[in-house]
Amino acid sequence: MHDELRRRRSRLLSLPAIIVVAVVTQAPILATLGLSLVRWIVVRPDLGITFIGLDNYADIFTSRDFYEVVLNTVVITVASLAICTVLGILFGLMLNRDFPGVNIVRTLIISPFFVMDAVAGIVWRTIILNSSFGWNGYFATLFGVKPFDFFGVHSLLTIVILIVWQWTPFFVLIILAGFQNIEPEIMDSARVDGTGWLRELLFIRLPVIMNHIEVAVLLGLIFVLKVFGLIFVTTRGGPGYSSSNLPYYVYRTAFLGWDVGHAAAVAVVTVVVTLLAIMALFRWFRRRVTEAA
Amino acid sequence: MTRSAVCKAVLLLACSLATHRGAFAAGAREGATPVRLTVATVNNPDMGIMQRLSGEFTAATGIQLSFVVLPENELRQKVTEDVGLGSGRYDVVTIGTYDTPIWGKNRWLISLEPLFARMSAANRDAYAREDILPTIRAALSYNGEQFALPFYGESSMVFYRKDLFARAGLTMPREPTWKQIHDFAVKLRGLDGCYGIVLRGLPGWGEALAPFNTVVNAFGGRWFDESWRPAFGEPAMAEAWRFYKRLLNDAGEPNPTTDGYTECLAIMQSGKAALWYDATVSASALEAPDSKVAGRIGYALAPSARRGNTGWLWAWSLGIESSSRHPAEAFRFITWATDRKYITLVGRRVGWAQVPPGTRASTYSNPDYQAAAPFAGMVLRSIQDADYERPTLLPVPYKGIQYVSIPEFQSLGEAVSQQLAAYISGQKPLEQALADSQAAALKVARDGGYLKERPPASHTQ
Repeated sequence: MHDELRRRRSRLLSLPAIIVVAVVTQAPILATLGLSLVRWIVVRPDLGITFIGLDNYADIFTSRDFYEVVLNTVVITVASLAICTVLGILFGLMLNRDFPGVNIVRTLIISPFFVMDAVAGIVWRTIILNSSFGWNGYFATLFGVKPFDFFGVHSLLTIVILIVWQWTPFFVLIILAGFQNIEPEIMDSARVDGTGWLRELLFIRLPVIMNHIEVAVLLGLIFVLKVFGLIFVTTRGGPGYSSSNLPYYVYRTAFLGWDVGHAAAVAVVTVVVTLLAIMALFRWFRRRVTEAA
Repeated sequence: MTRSAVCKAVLLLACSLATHRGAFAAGAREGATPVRLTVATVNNPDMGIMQRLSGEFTAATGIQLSFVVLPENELRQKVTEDVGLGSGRYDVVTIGTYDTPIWGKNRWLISLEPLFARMSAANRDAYAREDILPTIRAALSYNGEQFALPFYGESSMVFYRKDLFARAGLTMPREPTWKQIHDFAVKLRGLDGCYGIVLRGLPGWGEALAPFNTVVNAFGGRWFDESWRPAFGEPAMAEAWRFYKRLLNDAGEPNPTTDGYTECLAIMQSGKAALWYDATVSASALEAPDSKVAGRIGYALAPSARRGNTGWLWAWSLGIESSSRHPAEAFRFITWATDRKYITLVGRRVGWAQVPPGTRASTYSNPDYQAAAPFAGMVLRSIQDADYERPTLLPVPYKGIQYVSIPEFQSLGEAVSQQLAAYISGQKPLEQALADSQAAALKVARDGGYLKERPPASHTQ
């Protein structure tokens, strides 16, 4: 009985913390769900706030712009994750050696990760890629060619490049940790058996660090799906919707269109899409690990 | 220490803290904390000067000022969010002729009429409200009530390099046509490494759409017909789109969809363009001591095509949010910043070419200003002639020259400017860009209750 009393008291003591966490994490989600069922245009207070059921969702799923944004999100995410993973492995292999200046090289490779989205975007947009004042314009003039249109026709490609530039260090850090934790005896045995460097990489190193790659890709998926600052500062999701992803689409609907209900509905759809993508990727990795075992 | 002793100690500590906090608060009330106003403002040179001189206001009144400075697009969003959701972060907001009548109607801003009525006769005479240019004052009013005071007003005009024109043997007429502008730009392209012309292409209804809409008006286009049916399918609209892109392709800066007002000003100021069509207020920046082209700029009225008198009308103005807890102090600030004495202060401290233009008739009769601002006469004429009420060749149900004065224009203008950018950059063909713009405008017209017709049963657009 004394034990039962102690257990009940422990549960009561943790109740405040549970309530705070539940309110802080769940209240915004519930509020967003509620807002997605109303029509509320901030700049038209005369129209009031009215309950319209699932009309916002019907508008979304019949909108061509929405599907363009979803496709952009898929392209940005898949391309960025694939390139970051490959570069993460290559840089990881390179940094997993001892050579003069390895610490400096490691710092330089990792440093983009610590630059804020907005700062990185402004630097790239105004100093490097600007057609009149940036390196882009300078080298184009030097070679007598037209500056490359990074923010027009190729805006989506530019966003992928900037995301890869910023997030590759994250992949490098995790994958490098994996390489550094491989048992030396495994590599020694491989060398004794006469395994070449490519077979050693594909059939020994990578399978051994698959857990690290999984963590990097899963976390990378969450972060890349949420990218907003880079798009806001560089392409503003345009031209048209050509470089908008789902988070930017939510922002544009809420703070340029002032259509709170519609934006909330897009936000709900974004959360669902994110969860489905994470679950699918997680299951794929688990199946690969099980098959390898 | 026993558990009950711990509880008593905690209780005692909590009571002490509560008592002391109350004492501090009471002490603070007795000491009369000075009023601090939060002013949301846009990051342009004239506002920068106002911030630098705001110490004069604080010294004279004891009212403290905190400035929140943002780029135009972000300022508009932040301030709309603040007034629309009633957050009350700002006391004074910098808004334009687009926002003021709409926000006045929504009562998001305080009407200035009662505040002016409460002014003493001496202060009212000193402020001289009748000195404010009538077109500007009308654009900042709703139903006869004024809701904001103009900080600076502007129209649009052509800036050109007199030296490059002379070398090429060209003469700019006082009232050029767009065809003439195109021809000049093509002939001057490459001279001294210059672009023929620099024009805004950055998406945003307050960015590319500002000059572009005046081109639409000049070519006889319009956004909506008299019945609020979108008019993006009319030939004049397509002609305006084609012309703007052709002008940029033939003689403009490369990749213009990244260039807004700030970038275009930088390009012109650094001597990299022969022509620029944009806000009249840019003249003071181009003639500033740090400008590489000071003394070499000529001026011409906004170009015409089928319609003349196409210059836009805009005034960055100071309004008081209805949620402000210090409306009287806020009124003192906005009248200080828009007074003739402030203009004189800027003229003496910073230079007469840098005074806020386009608000008061007295500025343009000031001999010091006339001497320092060779562009003054043209700017005054542009503002006085701007036809805010009837901006287009064909009849329209809306007011506004470079915008459509409806609340939904922020999002509609953003959407259409994105289509324009997609077309200019070659991402979309003209027909698709116009069709998408038409669809966006139709949705706004229907959802906003402007278009009264029933939608067709097939729902095709």
